[in-house]
Order: sequence, then C-alpha cells, then structure tokens
Amino acid sequence: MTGVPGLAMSSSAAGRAATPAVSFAPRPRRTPLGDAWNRLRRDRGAIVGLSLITVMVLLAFGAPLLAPHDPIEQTLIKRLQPPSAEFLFGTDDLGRDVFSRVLHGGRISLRVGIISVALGTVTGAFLGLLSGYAGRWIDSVISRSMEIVLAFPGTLLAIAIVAARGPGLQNTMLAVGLVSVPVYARLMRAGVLSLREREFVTAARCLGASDQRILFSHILPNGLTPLIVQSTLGIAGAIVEAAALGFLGLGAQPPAAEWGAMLTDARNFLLNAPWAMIFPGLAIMVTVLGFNLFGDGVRDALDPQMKQ
Amino acid sequence: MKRRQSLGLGTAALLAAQLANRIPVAFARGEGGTFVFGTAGDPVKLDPAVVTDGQSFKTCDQVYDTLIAFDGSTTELKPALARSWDVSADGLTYTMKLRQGVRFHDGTAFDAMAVKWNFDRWSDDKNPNHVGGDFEYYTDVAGWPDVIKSVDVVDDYTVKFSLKIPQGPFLLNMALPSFVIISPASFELDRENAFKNPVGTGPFKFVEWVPGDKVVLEKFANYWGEEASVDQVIIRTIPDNAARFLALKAGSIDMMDGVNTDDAVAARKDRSLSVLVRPPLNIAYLNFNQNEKPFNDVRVRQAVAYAINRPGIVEALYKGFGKVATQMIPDNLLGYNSELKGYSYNVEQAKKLLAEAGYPNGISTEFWYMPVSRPYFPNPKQFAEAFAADLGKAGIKVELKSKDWGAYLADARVPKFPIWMLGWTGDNGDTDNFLFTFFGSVGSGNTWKNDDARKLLAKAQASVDMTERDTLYQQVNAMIEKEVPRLPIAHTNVPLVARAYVKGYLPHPTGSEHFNMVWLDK
Amino acid sequence: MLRYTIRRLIETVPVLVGVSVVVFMFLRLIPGDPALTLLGERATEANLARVREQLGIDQPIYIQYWRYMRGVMQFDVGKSIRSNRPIADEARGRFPATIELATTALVLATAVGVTGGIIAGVGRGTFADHVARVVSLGGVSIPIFWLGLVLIWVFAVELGWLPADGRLSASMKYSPRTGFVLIDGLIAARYDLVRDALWHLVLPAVALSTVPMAVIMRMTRSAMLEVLRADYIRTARAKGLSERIVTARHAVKNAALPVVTTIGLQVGFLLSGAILTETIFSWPGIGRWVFDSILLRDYPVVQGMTLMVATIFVTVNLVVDLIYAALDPRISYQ
Repeated sequence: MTGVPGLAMSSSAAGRAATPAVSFAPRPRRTPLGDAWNRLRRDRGAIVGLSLITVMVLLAFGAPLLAPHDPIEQTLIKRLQPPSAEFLFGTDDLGRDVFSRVLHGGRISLRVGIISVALGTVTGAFLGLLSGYAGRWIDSVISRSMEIVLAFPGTLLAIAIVAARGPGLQNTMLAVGLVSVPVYARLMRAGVLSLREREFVTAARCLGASDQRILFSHILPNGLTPLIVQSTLGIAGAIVEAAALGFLGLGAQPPAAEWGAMLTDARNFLLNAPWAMIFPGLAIMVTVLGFNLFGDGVRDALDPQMKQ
Repeated sequence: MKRRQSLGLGTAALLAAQLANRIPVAFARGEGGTFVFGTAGDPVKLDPAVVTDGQSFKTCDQVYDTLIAFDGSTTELKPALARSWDVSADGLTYTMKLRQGVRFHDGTAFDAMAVKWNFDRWSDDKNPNHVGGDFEYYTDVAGWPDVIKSVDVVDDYTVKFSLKIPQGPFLLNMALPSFVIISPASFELDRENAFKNPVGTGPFKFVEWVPGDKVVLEKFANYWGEEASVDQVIIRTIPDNAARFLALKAGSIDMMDGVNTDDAVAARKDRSLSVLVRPPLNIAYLNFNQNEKPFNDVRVRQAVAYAINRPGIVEALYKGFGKVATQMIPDNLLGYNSELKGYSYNVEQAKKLLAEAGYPNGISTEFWYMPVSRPYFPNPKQFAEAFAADLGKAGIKVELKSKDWGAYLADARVPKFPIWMLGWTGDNGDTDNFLFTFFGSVGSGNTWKNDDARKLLAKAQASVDMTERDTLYQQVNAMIEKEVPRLPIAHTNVPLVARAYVKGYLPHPTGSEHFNMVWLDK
Repeated sequence: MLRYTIRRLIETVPVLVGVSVVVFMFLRLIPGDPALTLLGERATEANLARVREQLGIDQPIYIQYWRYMRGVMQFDVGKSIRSNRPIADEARGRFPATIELATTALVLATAVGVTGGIIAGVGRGTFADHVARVVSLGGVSIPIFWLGLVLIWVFAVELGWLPADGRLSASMKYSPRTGFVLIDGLIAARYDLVRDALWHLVLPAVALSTVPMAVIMRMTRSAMLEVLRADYIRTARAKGLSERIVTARHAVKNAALPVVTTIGLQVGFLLSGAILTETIFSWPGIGRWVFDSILLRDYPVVQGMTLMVATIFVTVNLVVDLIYAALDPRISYQ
C-alpha cells in the first residue's frame, strides 16, 4: 500500500468505480507535454510542491557538505542535549547531531521512495500490459494474483516481506515496491483494454505490426500517463511506508540515519528529548507534502478534465 | 544433619542496597487498596512448570509457593511450604517436613501427596499430567532427570527425595520459580485450560487474564504466610518502556519494571517517585566465533577488549545502574577472582594487537545485536551503536546487523555470527549457573576450545566443598581473562520505579516478585 | 443484479484460498525457528526437537497446510505457539479493541471529513475552502506514527490531559460481555466505564483518523463541486430554490455515492494503520498482536489473523462494489 488511500492508492473499487484517478479519455494528439507544463506552471500548489521537493533533494545531495557533524559520530557526554547553536536540532540518545542526521536521512528516504516506486511501476506496468493485451488465462492468473495481493492490508504485507527477508534498506524497497505493484498493474491493464480497440492500434495491426511492436510502440506510451501520475503520488506514499517500516525496526539498520528509525529511538526519550522526535517527523511530512502537492498538480496538468 | 545452604549474595551488601533505596522494612503497614504493576509483556502461560519467562513468573510467584524460598532480597534459603529438611550424610536422601494446615485456593488441602503429584508430573513423561509444554526448568536448569531417583510420601506431611547422585545446589534449585506446588485437583479438572486458571497456595488468588492488557489477582485471606496487605494486584501490560513510564508518572500504574535508564535518572529527581534497584545477578557480554578468522586469534579478541571504552559506555548508557564487568560472573559470587585486573580502554594497544595478529589495516566484520531488550542490555541497539563507534576508532569496522529474536538465537548457537551481543540472568545465585552454562560444553554458542577449563568446571559442579569450588572457579576466571572467549561488558543494577507511596517491596536479584509484602502508604 | 452479486461472491473464493496459501507458504519459507523463539537463551537440542514435534512443524508442509485448512473449515484456527491458547480465545478479547478503535476513528474521520468537504465545496475559494484543502493535504502527508508521538508528547506528557496507554484505566473493574467497552458500558449503564473508555480512545482515534479524514474531505469536496456544476442544480437554482435547500436536498444527496465508496475503502487503511497506532498507544488489539507474532514467528496467530483481516477487507470491498453497482446505473453487470 502507499499509505494514502484513495489519493495515492487505488483500491479494488477505486480504480474502477469511484472517480478514477485519471480517465483514459482520448487525448488530442496535438496536445504535447508543453501544454501540460504550462498548466503545471500556473498551478500554485504544484509549484509549492516542486519547491519543497527541490529543497529536500538539494539538502539531501548537499548533506555531506551542509551537515555540521558526522551523522553517526557519537559524543556520549553530549547526549540528549536541547537545540543550540552547536546542535541546531539538539542531540539524540548517543550524542549525535539530530540536524545532521535529518539531512542525511533525506538521502535514504528519497532514494527509497524513488527506487521502490520505480520497482512497483515497472513491474506493475509489465504485468498490466501482459494481462491487458494477452487476455484469456494470462489475464485471469495475473488479475487474480493482484487481487490476492490487494486482499492484504499493505503495511501488514510489507512487514511480512521484510520480516521474511530480514530487516534492511534493500528489503524495505523491495517490500514497498512489491506491495504497490497491483495498483500500477491495474492502471496499465485498464489503459491497455481501452486502447486495444482504438483506431490507431487496429491500423497498426492491419499494417502487419507484430504484437510486441504494437504493445511497446503504440500501447505502452499511450497508457503511460496515468502511471506517471500515480507514481508521483506513489513516491509520497512510499516514503511514509518505508519510514513506517523503519519505525517498526525493520528498515534501515543502525547506525544509519533514517527518519523512521530515528523516530523509534526518539520515542524512548520522549520525556527527556522531544526534539529528537519532532524534527525527523517534520522532515518526513515536508517531503511527503511536496510529492503530494506536485503529484496533484501533475494529475491536473495531464488530465485537465479532473481539475476543479 | 540439618544444613542450610548459604551461597550467592552477601547479606550485608543487600542490606546496604536496601537502605540506600530507603525501603522501610517493617513499619505500620497501610491496609487494602489496589496495587498496579506495569510490565512489558503478558505472561506466556500461568503454568510455572512449563514456562521460562520472567513475565509468567511474575504472576505465578503471587499465586504459588515453592517448598523452599529465597529469603528477602538474597539467594539464601528459608522454609516455605516445607517447614524443615534433613540431608543424609551421603547427600543422596533429603527428607522434608511440610507445613500443616495449608490450603489451596480451591479449598483442597496441601500435603505430601500434592508434592509427589507435582514431582511426578514434571519427571514422568508417561504421566497423564505431563502436559502443557516443556518442563525445561526440571530437565535443563535443575538437571533433575539425572539426579532425582524417586519422590516418596512418608506420611501426610513428610516427603522423601532419593537421589541418584549428590547435587550441590539441590536445595537451591528447590527455590527456583518453576518448582511450585500447584493444586492437583484443579489441574486434573481441566488439564487443557489449567495454564490459564492457576490454582496454588500463594498469597493471591487468580481472578482474570485479559490478553495484551492485564492479569488481575486478589488477596487470599487464608494464606499460610504473611497475609497480603493490598486487596488486589493488577499486572498491567504496557509494551513500550517510555509509555509505561509515562503511565507511572500519570499515576495510572503504581510501579514498573523495564525502566529506561534515562527515565530512572529522571525519576530519582522526582519526589513523587522512588527508584529501587535489583542487586545484580546478570552479565552482558560479547561473544566471538572462535572457529573462524579473525576472532580465532586471541590477539584480535584482546584488541576488541582494549578497543571498547567500557567505563565510558557503562557510565553514559547505564547511568549508574550498572557497572563494568571484568569477569563473566558478578563480583559477589563464589569464585570471583580479585587478583585479575581486566582490560583497560586503550586504542593504541588494540591497534598494536591487531597489527601483530596480521591485520595492520584493521578488519571489517559483521556485528550482531539483539532485537529485544533484556535486563542486561536494556537497549541493545543503542549499545551496539556505541560499540561500533569505539571499534571503528581502533580499526575494526563493523556492520551492525540484527534479525528476529528466534533467528538471532538460532544463528548465535551455530554460530553464524562473527561477533555478537548476548547476556544471562542468573537463576539461583550459583557460579555454576553462569560459568558452566557458558563454557561447560562445546556448542550452543560456545566456541572456546579449552579442555582444561571444561574439566575444571565439571569438577566444580560435582563438588560440594565450597573452598574447593571457589579455587576452581578462580582458576577458570583467570583463563577467561587471558583468552577472552567472551568479553564481559557490564552487570546491570536493574532499576524499578514506583510511586513514592509504594512500600515494602523487596527487589530480588533473580527477578522474582512477592507482592504480599507491598503496602500502599496513601 | 443478483447474477452479478453471485458472480462477485464466487470470485472471492479463489482470492481467499489464494490468500491462505500465500500466508501459509510464506511463513514457512522464511527463516526463523518458532521452537527456538519459544525456548530462548535456554534452548537445548533435546528440548528443541520435542517442541518442534509438539508444534507439528516437523511434518511436510502440505500436510501442515491440509491439517490447517481442515481446522479452518471447522472454525478452528489453532493455538498460538507462544501462549498455547486457542487463537479464537485470545482474538475474542483483542478483536473488539481494534474494531472499537477503528470504528471510532472512521466515525470521526467521516464526521469531520464530510462536514469539511461540504463546507469547502459549497464555499469554493473561500477561506474555509483553503483551510480544508490545507487540512486534507496535511492529513495525507503526515505519518501517523509521528502524529501519535506528537499527540502523546503534547497531550499526555506536557499537558497531562489525556491517557496514552491502553483501553481502560487498570483499576477500572470491567467484565466484558461483548468485548466492546463502550457498548458494554452503555448496556450496564456504567457511565464511569464509558467515560474512561472514551478518554482512552481520544488520542489513538485522532491519530488513526487523520488520513481517512483527509481523503474523505477531499473526495466530498470534489464530489460536491462536480454535482454543483450539474444541470439539475442549475435547474433547481433557476426554479428559485434557496441555496441552502439546493445544497441540502440536491447536491449532498447526489454527491453521497462516491463519498460512501471512499469511506468504505478506508477500512483497508484502518487495518494497516492499526498496527502502528496500537504499537504507539499500547492498545491491546490485533494489530500489535499480529506484528509481535510476525517477529516471534508465531505462525498460527499470523495465519489466523491475516486470513481474518483479509476476509474482512475482501468482504468490505465486495460490499462497496455491490452498493456502487446497485446505485449507479452506469455500471454494467457483465
């Protein structure tokens, strides 16, 4: 699951019955990306979102230069110190600088968000294409499998996968990615189904194009729009989900500065050092907010009918 | 010959600890009220014969009695359901006189038959009552299948134990929390569900167990011993240490264990709270896989010992609730070797030893830490990070890893880990319970190849001469210091925090609890 | 419609069987020995073998599965490895705790979400609308485990207003009948019990309700906007009906359908969120139980509870689909 149902997540009925995240209405060919960009530029929310993302990305990339301290360097005699000039966000239970850890945490969270969504999108798109285009038993098998995956609450499934494969960042990405596969597979499948019978596909088929060619040069590019929208929002969900796994002790392993794991540690010192809890959480929220705002904007831009 | 064994912890030290904790020993007690004790987890089962976890014992200790009990805060023995006992000269026959007029909570009488019934249940796997789980304390901790030949009823209130071989700590083992006498009548009534309807002779009767929430007990008015002061005891499950402390501060519980060290420090400054400390009977240590490189080389293990700033870490993370361990047993146990100096914090020495061992550029390896909090390592991850930082400075680059508790223990036994954290809490205050458990046999995480040490440990186990045992254990401790098969880190003074009005509680080193002593001064 | 319903019902069977197989195989293919977890530091080869035999985990996997499913068919999901208690027994105590929490959260989310959404939709572009948009965006962006901690810090630690541990005060005497404290309290007219339970519900329910609240608010707002643009609303306005009546009679009624669906879809989130919320608030429900059981390799509990949760989830989705199909003539039943 992506943590944000109905918005970033489309569950069994949402993709089909409730207002779909994006429609597959024919889009005039003359509307290139430029049009969408223009709309995006005029969307205040999207710009705020993009700015937040940019700031977080820059901070993450610049972390090694910007961080005043080594994120894993411990100064045991300076543990649990309140925010000060030396330690902007205070120190944690091992005397590490929370500010530096938050900066470095961005590197992990952004990476996890992007990689797991990429994993989910690619796998989902492939399964969806296969399912929608091949039809028959292949479609049945894939669709049923996706339904089985969707029958589990997402966090539970992700926990199970990580518990099975052992805690760690790689398995977190794998779990968060896999759990989101059905969402993308369904979007892609729906796209393929509506595109399959369209004129330009029929035309290509009449001209003797191979299945492969039709699939990858005609259907895939046209069915991609909803996936792009979904995956932008998906990054937001994936970041929260990965942080949740980190919070449960299943994500990045110590001493890595991961936001969710920092929250677990901080929880033990809530009474003595609330700052160690406040800042990593704020960082998650700001980043996720950025992706949600931007994702909304992308959706509105790519699909003007949805804009309200 | 009547012999009361006195092993383990010195009374004077404990008395001092109590005074330091400002526990009034016997003043006018307040009566009545509900005492709520917060702890980290539910009991596993309320059938003490088949459990090994402290949470189960915490409840069972209130509902049941042993034949012989630990006295106060010590591991010295005092009569309980057994009034007195005699030992034959060859150490093979123990005759116990039982207390008369004792009744189980179900109204049936406690007598010699009940004692025999319980021992038969534990020992005989063909007995229809030998159900409910694994009788681990009987088979493994006390090792009684190889010791006890038979248990016979002499008369209604006399039981005779016939032994195959003498066992030094036989009476001490009788006081283990597993060996309580449960009501045969109630157990046979519903064997399947006996584990959740405990019926014993203890100061409290079982009322209910709401899984994940609480166990409720009420005072048993006809208790043979010191009648409970409070009317009701509730043992509340609050899994998170910080949340539990919060509940204590808010007054929704009266006392708690599993206190984060920082919270215990804060509690010391809070006049509405009092901090109590269990006398240490535990050890936190690092274990090495000595079958493989690099830790097969004693110099590398010594390098680890020099590299870790144990005083610094113990100071910062135990905050006065623990002290640096230099040997694998607490210093008040038999066989502690006061000649030994231990390893000091010396990064240069560590680097030098590494270089001598053929690792001038240091080593990199995996370091495994426990996924769960134990009394000896209250916050393993935090410790692991501190160890990793110190090791790194000496050129030992470690990657911290952990896995679920079951898998962790499994891999530690093989061992699949090069270096890992673990610890031990003593059962009965005997050195054998520490050193033989660690090094008595090869396997189960012991990769120390030292036959001499093993022979000495076996000899000490069989001996009943305390002076001889003392010498033998001192020799073994010297060997351990030299070869560092495991690196002792700390002995924890496990803190408990209570509201200031909670009086009469005696923290016991083994972790057993007796809430009938508790009264509320409010 | 009947045929559609039957077909959808039949379709759920392979899904649930698939779920059971997946859960079962998955748990057994993963490393970690429940026997060892059970015995802890004191395990020996001999007692390990005994425990494995007792647990039946020395049998081939298909026999284990067969035994298990035979039990499930008779509503027997087995015993917990850790506690040796029948799972149904323990679930009876924990299930109401989770349902009570989730229901309270959903009610809260719906009340705030729908109200906020209507206000925002009707007053598009007003200050209220902006607030609603910020709240709903913030709501979906806030990690609930962090929100939980912040709530505890502010309301339990700093202000000391609300409790943050468990369902009831320990000293509260309560013998469960239905297991739902609120219901039991009302039946028995134990208002002290109800008050205490509500008191304990506030923080966890607020934390758990944020995301659904935000989603519902968003959906209500956009549904309102869509409806208010529709022809019949224009007609109603043209007839001279007051704006209040237009909103109340026509708009809200017609916007309800997608909103109801959205509310139904929050169940999945609530079940996921319960794991985190229960962990933070020491809530004795199934979320935390399942999580602990995964870590302890208590297979039967994980199996039983996952199967149950998946069944609930699939059922709710089915019901939502059916309601939607029944109400919306545009959906074809083929």
